[in-house]
Amino acid sequence: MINSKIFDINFNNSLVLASGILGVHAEYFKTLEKNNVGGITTKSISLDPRKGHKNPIMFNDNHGFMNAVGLSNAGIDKSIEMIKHAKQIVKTPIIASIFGGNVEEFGELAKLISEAKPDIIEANISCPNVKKEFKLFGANAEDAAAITNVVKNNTKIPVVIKLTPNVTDIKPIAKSVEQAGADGITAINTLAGMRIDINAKMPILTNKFGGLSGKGIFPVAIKNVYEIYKTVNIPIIGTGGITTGKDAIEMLMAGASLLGVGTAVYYEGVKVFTKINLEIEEWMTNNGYSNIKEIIGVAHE
Amino acid sequence: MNNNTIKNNFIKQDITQQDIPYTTKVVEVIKHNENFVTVWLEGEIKIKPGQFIMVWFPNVEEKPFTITCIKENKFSFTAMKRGPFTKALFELKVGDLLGWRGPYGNTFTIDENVRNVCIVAGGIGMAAVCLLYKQLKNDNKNVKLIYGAKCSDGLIFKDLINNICVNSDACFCTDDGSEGDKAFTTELLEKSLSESLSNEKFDIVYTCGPEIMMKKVVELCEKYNVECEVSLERYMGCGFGICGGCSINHKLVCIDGPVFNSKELKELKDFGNHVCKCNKE
Repeated sequence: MINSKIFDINFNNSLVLASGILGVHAEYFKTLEKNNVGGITTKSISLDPRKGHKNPIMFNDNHGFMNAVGLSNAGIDKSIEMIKHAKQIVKTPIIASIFGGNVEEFGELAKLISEAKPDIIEANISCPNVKKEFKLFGANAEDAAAITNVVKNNTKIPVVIKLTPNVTDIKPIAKSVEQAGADGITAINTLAGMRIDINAKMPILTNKFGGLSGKGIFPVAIKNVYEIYKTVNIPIIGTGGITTGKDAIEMLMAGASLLGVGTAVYYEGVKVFTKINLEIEEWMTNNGYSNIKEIIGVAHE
Repeated sequence: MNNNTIKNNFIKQDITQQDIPYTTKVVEVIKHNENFVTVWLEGEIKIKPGQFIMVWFPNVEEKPFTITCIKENKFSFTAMKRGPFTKALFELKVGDLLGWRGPYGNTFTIDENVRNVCIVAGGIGMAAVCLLYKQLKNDNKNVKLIYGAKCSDGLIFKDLINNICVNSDACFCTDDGSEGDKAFTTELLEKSLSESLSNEKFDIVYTCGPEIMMKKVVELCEKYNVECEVSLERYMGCGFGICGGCSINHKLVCIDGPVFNSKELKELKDFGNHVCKCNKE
């Protein structure tokens, strides 16, 4: 009922752990699998190891969840070992998220990470928290296409491109990555934001600026996925604020084929995957659907 | 997590967790010696023995700490000098601002039917069991405290312990014999465990300290068939189960711990191999 085949890969369900949440240690993937995750995206991987920003890197209040982790990761060599290990101990499809400082680095990363045989490669061209060091390739159609091109040319594994909502119009960017050969699109990354502590009179995040995620960005995600679905014919991993089964159904209706879940893990713990799946099934049963694919994009009809 | 969906049965619903730093004034800074400092913050805190908070030092960093003492409208945490953060604590002045969020993590199990308990604390690990010691004493349990450090300078909680309990039956030890017995905590524990076989047996042993010490404590408890709970430490980013930084095998120290019992530790094969990297900062 909720299983599907996307990019020629079998997913037990549509819920994919979004990049940046817990995708660091292979052994923890077992815990995620036990909790009915449909796919696991790793934390974004760079060529060299990165420490990321100093704490505070995350917080939450009524206004939403903020983070600026700064793409901390163990680097490509250790990440290859981690994914190889993960492939041995879990059956859940693994999406390797990569990011580089220029076109050549993305090509190199795609080539190297393919050795670990992840099921999908996600090129993160949309992190809002490393602007001092990295160009935001997702901000314009030409850069986005150039990255897509080089990643595709360096791997036979399906490639999805993660886009940013922090642009004037996401449609031409989506179109250009499709034309450059992307197999899919992940949307959206976090929204650029900032918070200030009024007693300390300074930004709370060490990076000053961060990415906003969670329930509050759900309408933004729905709008972007809806527009991307109208623009391209490749599958979309709809990500941003999904917390309940009803959110999931809404995101499918907007046009997503798979559903990224991130901050919901903060709200409810890893058991949230089981909960959302059960709620999706319940909704489908009550509304006469037997295959989750039938819901994708119905809001466009 | 928030909305009180904390995955631990021991945490009562009246504890509310806040996940954005709340800034408050430093009301006292006690430099015990060149390596240890206690900072008192203004305000109320509701926290259970075993839990921790994330302390934000604006412009410096944010780190996890346990609470060592709670008084009227103030509470303290104690740190050992390790890296830039703990060094900065020594420069704090009364009136400076620190932020904190939490409380996070699970708690030590305090079974009301339990009579005889033992706490084994090594060095700064005592900071993680101060509230536990106080509560067990308040609950009129028979508490045997074994508290050791490398040398007398490390036994900074000695006065606090004597404050909690006037007729303290605590056993102090140091590696170099500069205070208390010249012994390791684990040696005193083994002595107590073997003595308790003929006397009243410990119902549970709680421990916090260097991981190599805790590993030995767990082994001794297994040998003498006594239940054991340890408080683990890992580098921590978020404190609420999202960043994955504090994972130990298939568990997270911040939300599945920091307190783990002997049964859980059997599945965590990395337990005992951890050396705090902060020492190399």
